[in-house]
Amino acid sequence: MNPTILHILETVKDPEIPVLSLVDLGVITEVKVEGNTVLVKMTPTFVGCPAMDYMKAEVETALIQQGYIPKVTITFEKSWSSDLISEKGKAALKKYGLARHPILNSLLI
Amino acid sequence: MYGGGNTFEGIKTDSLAQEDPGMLAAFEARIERGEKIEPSDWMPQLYRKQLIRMIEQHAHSEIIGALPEGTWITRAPGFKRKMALMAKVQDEVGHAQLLYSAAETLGKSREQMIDDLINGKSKYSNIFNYPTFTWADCCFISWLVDAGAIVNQLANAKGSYGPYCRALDRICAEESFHLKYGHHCVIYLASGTAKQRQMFQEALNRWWPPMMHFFGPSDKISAHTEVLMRWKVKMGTNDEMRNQFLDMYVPKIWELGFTIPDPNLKKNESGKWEYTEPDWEEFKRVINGDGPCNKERLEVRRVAEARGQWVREALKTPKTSYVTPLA
Amino acid sequence: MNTALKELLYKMADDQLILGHRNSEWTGMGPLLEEDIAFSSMAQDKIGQGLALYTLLQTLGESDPDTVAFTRNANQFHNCILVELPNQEYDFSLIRHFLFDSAEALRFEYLSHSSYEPLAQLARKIRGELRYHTLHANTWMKQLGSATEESIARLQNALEVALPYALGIFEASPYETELIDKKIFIGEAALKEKWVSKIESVINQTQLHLPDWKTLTPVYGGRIGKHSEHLQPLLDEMSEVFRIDPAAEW
Ligand SMILES: [Fe+2]
Ligand SMILES: [Fe+2]
Ligand SMILES: [Fe+2]
Repeated sequence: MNPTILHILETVKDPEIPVLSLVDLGVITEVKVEGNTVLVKMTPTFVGCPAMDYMKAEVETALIQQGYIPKVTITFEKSWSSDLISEKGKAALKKYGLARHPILNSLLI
Repeated sequence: MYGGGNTFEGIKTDSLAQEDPGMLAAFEARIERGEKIEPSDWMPQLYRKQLIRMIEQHAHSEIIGALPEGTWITRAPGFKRKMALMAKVQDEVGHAQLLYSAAETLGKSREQMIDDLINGKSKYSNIFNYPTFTWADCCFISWLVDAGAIVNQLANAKGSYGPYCRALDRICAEESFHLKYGHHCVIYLASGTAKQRQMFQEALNRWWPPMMHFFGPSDKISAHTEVLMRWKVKMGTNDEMRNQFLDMYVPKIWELGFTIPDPNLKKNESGKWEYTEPDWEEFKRVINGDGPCNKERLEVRRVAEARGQWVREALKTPKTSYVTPLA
Repeated sequence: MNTALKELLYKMADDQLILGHRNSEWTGMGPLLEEDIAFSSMAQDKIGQGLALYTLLQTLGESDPDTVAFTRNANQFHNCILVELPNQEYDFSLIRHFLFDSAEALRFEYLSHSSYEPLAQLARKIRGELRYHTLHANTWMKQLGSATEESIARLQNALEVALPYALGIFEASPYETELIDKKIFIGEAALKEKWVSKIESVINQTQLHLPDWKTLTPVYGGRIGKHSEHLQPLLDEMSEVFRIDPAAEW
């Protein structure tokens, strides 16, 4: 990914997990830069994620603030799974204590 | 979410008499330096007792607090609201889980705490003893009760007990999302039809008095808690918290064009908010069990516990453990 | 092709929405906090999946998802009757979750190879989510299905009540041949066959037993809008606020 854009996108955090950027979370699946326009593809962690619109808006704002024109699309082309969390993201999550899927939590009592 | 104004018992002056003075001094010095106290560290009995009481009240407030909003999940208007409200209420139950674990580090089990809740021995935030008649009531909670909770929780996160502070750090991150969601809901009501505006105005009228109660009795009449403040168990006086809330949210409510049902509400020259003194007799009545929904709330909990008894029993038989995907 | 495809999408979307709604009723009422959270998670997944399917329908010319979900009457819904039945005790909810999600996991597995690419893409996503659901269901079935006398008896009883309704999941649509020929979906009959062996493999690891399949009479009707008395009240509740003013934004 283009390092400047990567840097900008890394400033956008998961709304409920402030230690985790959307890049590390793995929900940004594709970035293309065409002149001043940045095309971003995002995919939700789960289909019903209520934070998706919010995350999309945050990505747009971050790019606009740095003088880019964002074109963000939400797609299922590439599906999110926990494998997409970066090593850095996994370490941050572990430290934060949020390493599990809520359903799996219920299997661990 | 969580109401502050948790009831602390008045502290008897002799309750520290049996503690070792040297240990006590060292303990207080650590807190003074800003160190966190961990479960295996030495601590005065009174510290342990008051912390259990506070964290437990907080945990109960999360699960009981899930009820008045929870009943609107099945009625939320539209997919967006429905999914966000589900996620929010689920978070609240998750907060309870985190907090019960934090309290357990002090030596009281979750079962005991839930028993005490059902028996009416331990308290929870008074505000959840009021009913949610309309969708707008539910929005009031999501926005303003959560806002009040955040004021409290952000302060408490700077407290002295490590496990509680760490739980609160996570909780606060989620709460800030709740607040955005709740505010969003209210903005839609404010900018919607006349009926929608009226719905929220009525909710505001109903909920303002309990919201003022939320932070607990005025400093003038509440129990002396100096030692708890010194130990960083309690992080601000009730009036300070209330003032902070008013300072942050009254302008936002006014901005949306709603009227707060208190003609005396205003900020004075010294930057403090003045308001009609809330009815503390009602507060006492409700906290002692005689509010509009106390019985109903506890009954729901009691029934849920009783109906789930066979499940918990069946889980006690040995079983395999499972792999987590990320750990 | 559109009519057949729409029929398929509607019944799946309605299933997800209605069961998601039922699952969400466990919020605050679960037998333990962890189950509260699990059912709420699954409810969110299901409602989200329903929304995604309604959104697909919108691209095929149907109304927007909110209108479709919040303004139709019971006889316009195509969900199977199993999902609309009240939660009852946790035993029934767990059994239903197990029977239904086992079928769904297989359904979306097959759909991930559908010739209709937008559906295949969505199915690949949903398939991943359903893995957690079946993992959850199977774990709890194995645990409670072999734990105490009471838990085994309760699950056995709930299983017998739920099975005829579960067979109603596979009520054939008038477009089976078309869907199969066009490789959109393998069809309900084939799905049911796979499901039966899946169910048997889990039940065999518990102290529960399955009745002879031949003795069971499937409860059909849901797919053609003939529902139990429980669906309309559920829908009335769901749309209570929305209907105050369907033109308002909430
Ligand atoms: Fe909250
Ligand atoms: Fe909370
Ligand atoms: Fe959450």
